[in-house]
Amino acid sequence: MRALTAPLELVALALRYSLAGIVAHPWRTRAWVVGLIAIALVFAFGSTLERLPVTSVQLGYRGTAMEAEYNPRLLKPEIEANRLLPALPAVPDAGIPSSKAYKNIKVLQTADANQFLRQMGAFANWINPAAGCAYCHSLNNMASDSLYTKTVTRRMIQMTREINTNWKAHVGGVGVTCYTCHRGNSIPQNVWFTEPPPGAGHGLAETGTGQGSPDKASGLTTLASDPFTPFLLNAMPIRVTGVSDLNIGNNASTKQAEWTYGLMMHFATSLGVACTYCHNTNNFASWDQGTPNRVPAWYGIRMVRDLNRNYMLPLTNVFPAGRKGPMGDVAKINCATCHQGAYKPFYGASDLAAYPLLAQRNTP
Amino acid sequence: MTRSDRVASVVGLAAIALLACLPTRSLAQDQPAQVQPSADLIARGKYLTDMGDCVACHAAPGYPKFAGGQYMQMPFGDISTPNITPDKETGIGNYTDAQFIRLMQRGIMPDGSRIYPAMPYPWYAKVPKADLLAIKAYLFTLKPVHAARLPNKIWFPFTIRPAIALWDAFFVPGEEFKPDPSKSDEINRGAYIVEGLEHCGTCHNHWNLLGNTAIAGNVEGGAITRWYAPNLRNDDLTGIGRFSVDDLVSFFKYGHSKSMGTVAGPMSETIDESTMKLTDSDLHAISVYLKSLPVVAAYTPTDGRYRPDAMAAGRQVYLSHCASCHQDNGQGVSERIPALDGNGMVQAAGSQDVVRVVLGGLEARGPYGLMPGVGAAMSDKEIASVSNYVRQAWSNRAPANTTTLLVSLLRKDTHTLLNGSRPDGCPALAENDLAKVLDDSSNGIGALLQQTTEANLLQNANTIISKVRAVAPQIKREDLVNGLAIAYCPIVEKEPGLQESQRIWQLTHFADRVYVQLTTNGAY
Repeated sequence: MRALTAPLELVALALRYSLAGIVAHPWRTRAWVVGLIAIALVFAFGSTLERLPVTSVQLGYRGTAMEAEYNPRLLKPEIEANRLLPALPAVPDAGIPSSKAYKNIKVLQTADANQFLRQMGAFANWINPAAGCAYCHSLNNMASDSLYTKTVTRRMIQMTREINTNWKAHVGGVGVTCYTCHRGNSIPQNVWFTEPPPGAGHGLAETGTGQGSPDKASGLTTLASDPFTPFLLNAMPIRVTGVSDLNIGNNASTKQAEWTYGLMMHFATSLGVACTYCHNTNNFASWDQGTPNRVPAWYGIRMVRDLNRNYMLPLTNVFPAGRKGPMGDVAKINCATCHQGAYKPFYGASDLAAYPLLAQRNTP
Repeated sequence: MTRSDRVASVVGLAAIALLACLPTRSLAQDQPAQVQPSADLIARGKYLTDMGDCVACHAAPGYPKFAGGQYMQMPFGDISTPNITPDKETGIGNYTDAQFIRLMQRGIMPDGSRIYPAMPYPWYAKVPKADLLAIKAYLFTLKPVHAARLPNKIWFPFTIRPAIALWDAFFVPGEEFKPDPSKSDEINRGAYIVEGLEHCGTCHNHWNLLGNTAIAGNVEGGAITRWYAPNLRNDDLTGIGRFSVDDLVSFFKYGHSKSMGTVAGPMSETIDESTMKLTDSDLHAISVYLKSLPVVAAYTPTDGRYRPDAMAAGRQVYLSHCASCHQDNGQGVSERIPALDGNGMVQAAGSQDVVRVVLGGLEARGPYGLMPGVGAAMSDKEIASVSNYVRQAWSNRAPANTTTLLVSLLRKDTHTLLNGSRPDGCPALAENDLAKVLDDSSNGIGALLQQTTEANLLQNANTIISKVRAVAPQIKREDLVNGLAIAYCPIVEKEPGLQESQRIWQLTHFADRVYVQLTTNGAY
């Protein structure tokens, strides 16, 4: 994913400055010459044109161009970057529950004491291996809740269990662990915050509605910014196309349409796929003509919305100031948080079976 | 010595004499004085040898103490330290008193050649002859070790040794230390130690390549072997002004104190090998003397000169990698984790120490825990940004001068047990009580350590500690934490199927667990 955005940013930047020159001095030949050369160079070297080869994976009927395209050369480092950590070796049970062995256990209290410690070791490896236990536990008293990270972790364990037990429609049997998102980072590398309301004149072409400025969320297009707040936090309808021939009663705005496009661009970049992974471009809206992949994606949107509302938002006041977004909101989840550029996180590999504590149902 | 040898040496020495315009004497002409020194003199010599910290340089891994064998990194190349045991061939066994004093005070070998000022003779020049002879008397009681000096690796033109005479003429004080009658006896004693044998200025002088003279400055902080020796003047913000004399004495004695935190870098050796062995009254004298020096600020405090957005980026890194231990307010945890707010090392003019500690971690010392080599998981940019953050956050006002270039240079140079960068492999466990406990197969501790993986290290660490405590309750906490980490190192290295980073963190988790178990005594 990161490999893709760097040239894209370059393109956006070069286009912006060469166009700026032309707009500022439209009567000067030099501005036009320099501007056009820059634009030509951008398309020659900075664009997303890729060196071959390309392989394609068929996703729909033959002849419908329903396929996912991959460049094996670019896929190789992505596969390397999306590997699971080796699972920790199994340990024999201690025979007593963790709540008997340790104080102040609130989520994993029924776990066997030894399995509990093994799981703690895995947490350390997954979240912040350098800080280890100390990232969540006070070294003076491991039972103390003095560090905010411990409060967050408890809720995140519950969230992981919620995903693995109640959202099988999206995660299937593969499931998730902390490492699916964290990958050794205390904050997962791909999270989102609500963006400040757009102000006219921030960029060369930015409008007061947040259009016209390259937006990372929608793949550096100039679609309306922040497509996440409406769909992945609030439940605004994603579909903007009309359902009847004459389009009666559809008052969806251009901005809404751009948000939908932006969200779809985010889906594509987060999973490393194109539209045809789920949709038949003959009729985007039609469920009949799309691929089965669209079903888990539909549940995924609901899942992310649920997690953001019920697991992330309630933690807003737990996080310290430096951890929140520009609007003082908590870090939130989108597709990239788990997928990180792969159509399935870790390209489908799973080690949830090695950590059964995370696959249990939450106790109400 | 054969006749031809003698002829050759006379010719050789004559050539050196011509170059250096110095008088020369052949070894053969002087025989060491055969006077039996008194036990008192030897004991005094030993104390002064500790004060001079001779063993810090004249020893190396695999070499007996005082047998040399270490390479000193100097700006002009690497200098090997020679053998100073009384071995007649490779050591100083043939030195007369006069030769020894001339070497110590003037840096001139018995054969008339000049030594490099890696040896702090510009400081020893201030030490009275009687004290130097006590040192010699002590050194001559050591067991002679036959260990020839390793070849120097010095770049041209610094290989022209007679040129050192010119340097000496400018930068070596001409006379021995004289007490200042206007100052108290204690201050004079402190001055004698600091300016003489303890040679603090070798590192702490601003222009520490300019010897021990007024132009070199006097202990207001300087860069040395890619560490930074902080300002020792009494300035509140940039020096030792915030620390009391008792703080300083405790720091010199144990390597940590309540308000100063723990020692890091080359100073930890200085404390272990030298200041720790000095009497309380001498440590007090050093502290009082340093506090009596005219106040010099190492830099002008730079409040708010660092860009706010860079500060926010640094804070992000701080929250991810530092805040859980050192706390969001930089105060650390009393007697567990040193504070970064107001920390002398963090506030030093140079940021080398912060970067090196982030990169390499710190071993446990006194009540303070072990710091992981967190930098192993951080990019150069992250480390530079967090270093600038901690140097400017809270009440700290040090210049935000850490660059990614500095971090990448120091990363190449930072090899510790805790950051996994160990070109010489795992360090050897010292021959101590812990080693005996681990070697004893009847107690099962060594075997349990062998079976310890990330999956069971939390419970195994508990068992190992209670077993070690049962058989050897006398081992100090920090020795147990550091020692078990060293003992666990080769086991982690051999564990199959681990990524390099997992090895680093598994070792750290184990050592941390040992520390936590020992400090909380299992109270959780």
